Amino acid sequence: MSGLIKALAEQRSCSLIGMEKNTGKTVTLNYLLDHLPSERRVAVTSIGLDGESQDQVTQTRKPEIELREGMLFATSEKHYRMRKMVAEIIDVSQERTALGRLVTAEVKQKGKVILSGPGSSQSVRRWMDETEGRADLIIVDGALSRKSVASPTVSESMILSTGAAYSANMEKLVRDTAYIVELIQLPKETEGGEEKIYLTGAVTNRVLESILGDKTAAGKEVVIQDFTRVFAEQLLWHRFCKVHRVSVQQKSRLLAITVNPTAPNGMVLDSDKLCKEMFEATGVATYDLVKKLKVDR
Amino acid sequence: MKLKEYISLPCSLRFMVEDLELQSSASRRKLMEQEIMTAQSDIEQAYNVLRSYFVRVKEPKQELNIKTLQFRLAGIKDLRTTIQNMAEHRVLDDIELFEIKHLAILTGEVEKQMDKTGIACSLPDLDDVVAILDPEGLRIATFYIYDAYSDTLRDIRRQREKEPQNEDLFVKMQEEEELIRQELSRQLQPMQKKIAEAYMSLIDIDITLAKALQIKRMGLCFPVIGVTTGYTDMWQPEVKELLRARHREYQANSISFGNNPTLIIGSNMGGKTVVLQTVALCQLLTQFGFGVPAREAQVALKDEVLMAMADGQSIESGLSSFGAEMLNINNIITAARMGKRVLALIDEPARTTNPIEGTALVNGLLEVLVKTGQSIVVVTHYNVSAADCRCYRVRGLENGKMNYALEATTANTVPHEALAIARELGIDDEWLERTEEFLREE
Repeated sequence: MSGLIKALAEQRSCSLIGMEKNTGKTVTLNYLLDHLPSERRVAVTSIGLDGESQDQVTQTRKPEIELREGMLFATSEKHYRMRKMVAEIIDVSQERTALGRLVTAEVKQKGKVILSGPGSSQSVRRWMDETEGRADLIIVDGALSRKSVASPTVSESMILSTGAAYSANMEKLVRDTAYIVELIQLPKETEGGEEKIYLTGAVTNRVLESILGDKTAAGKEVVIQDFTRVFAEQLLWHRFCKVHRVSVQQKSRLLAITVNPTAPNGMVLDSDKLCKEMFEATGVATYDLVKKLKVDR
Repeated sequence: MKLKEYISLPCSLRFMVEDLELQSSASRRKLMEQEIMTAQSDIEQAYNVLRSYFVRVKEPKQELNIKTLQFRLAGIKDLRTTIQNMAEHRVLDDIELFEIKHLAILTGEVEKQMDKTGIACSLPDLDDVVAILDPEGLRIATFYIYDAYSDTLRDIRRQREKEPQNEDLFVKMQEEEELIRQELSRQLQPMQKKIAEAYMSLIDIDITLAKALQIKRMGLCFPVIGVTTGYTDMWQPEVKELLRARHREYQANSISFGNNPTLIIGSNMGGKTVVLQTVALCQLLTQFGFGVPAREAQVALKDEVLMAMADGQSIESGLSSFGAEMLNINNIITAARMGKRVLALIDEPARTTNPIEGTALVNGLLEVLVKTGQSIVVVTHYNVSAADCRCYRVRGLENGKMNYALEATTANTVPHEALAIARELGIDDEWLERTEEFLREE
């Protein structure tokens, strides 16, 4: 069992997030589903924008996911009807999304399905609560990081996908990914202690500057909801973090980074170098799963 | 009119509806669509059923049974589209077949739980529905087109195990599944009526149970239907709740009236508006079959409940508060003359105009209303000649403390307590002294 699968198999829930479209989030999901030991009962869904608007934003169809017998999944009525597998319906939610209600089903004969799950953090949370008793591990295919209406911190752990699709300049790719990793790894809010500053909503340059300019705020811990709320520039952020301890209310563990060295325009980065530099910059285990699959074969 | 049309009346009906522990959104939807009951037999029938729930609900030993019943009822799903599709002889898809199977199994479970709780109910027997959708006899509320439905299907699926990439096999499987769906839909067709009936009955159980639990929780009463209306120790539940949150007691009060205008006079801050709200609320709760917030209640049935309250400003239509109010009261007069049985509550009519014309307007209104012979309760501060009206007065300030009790009075002079109350509120001394001088001059 690879280190990635081993780390994941110990979790109760995991969200997949991507730095950008085409960074290999779906490859990662399919790899995990394929390699997880079959005795671990897996349930999977996706969150974020509803299928239709996502198609409009990215001009691409949501990819199909391949699932094995015994796996559970949740998808919209529309995509449930389009499934290419035999599946038994376990539940139909009362909530409606643009694509109809949410159908939870168990795979009876393996095949493919498009996942378009709940649209908000609360409904993902609700679905996870309902599914917990039926599954050992819940995997949530998150939307693009920070553009999502639902935060990936609803799950206990996370896997971040990044790659040449984000930037073909390796230095920038590593630097920006490391910034996201740094945000994901912000510490949890300290218990009790002195007076803190709580920020709800987006943490922008302006918000940071106004706190830096406020003498009464000096030295106080700043608490944000979770890492997806930070929209500030790296330089300013780092300057801010030197003056204030910044913590989050919700956090999940980052298990690994997966990289896709190939950009949609054909540019290819050196996979080994990318993995090495990414690991050195973040301290987080980094995998190129496409290459790994090739080597395994 | 429907509950959803009455719910925004300023009388806390929304508070009571939202307080119900409904387990399913389908129940809430049905409740909102309910027409107000105006026939005595309908209302008495509804209360008989509600009472049969209440006698069980109030027993402490039933608590766990009731909790289980609520848990089951939470499984009610919205089946409107599915039932509609059945009625139109459409072929049902997997999701709809799942919903029907789920309902059929749920109906059996609820019936068992009702039986345990000792509440009588008549739910249709859906065992034959379950049998059709449960060919493997597992009695679990999940569904797919089972292999057991056809040997052909089983064979195709076995073949697919070996050739998962074979698209032709997938198409063949889909065709066979569709044939089975057609057959299942055909077999279920004759059961459409009782499936719809079970669905509606489950919703009714949810609503009735929630009402019975509310009666227990709030200590409400079952009203009797009579020719006149009278409440003993009634209270406004939302105001009571607010006071409780501030650790203050609510003082219940009593009122009765027949088919002629009733006048309520009395000091400011004496709770007159709350009385109007409570009277409207109790009327509506009775005619929608809820428990009533009073120790005892006798209610004369009405066809319509109308309110003209002090906050009836119509900004949207660009009317001044006076204009909006006059039109509102005019509607009440029109409705009262139309021969329908009306309960109308009018809070301080003509309060925003000068007291000379205002008093005349209220006197005129009362004369007009007396002729209609309807139940109309009017609150006023004006000194009106309330001939032919029943008259109540708020007891008012007694030893510096407000007594909210209503007492029947014949005196048609309104009490002069505004200054005393203003003093209690700590209003500027100079202002009040000057006011007293003006009063003396008059």
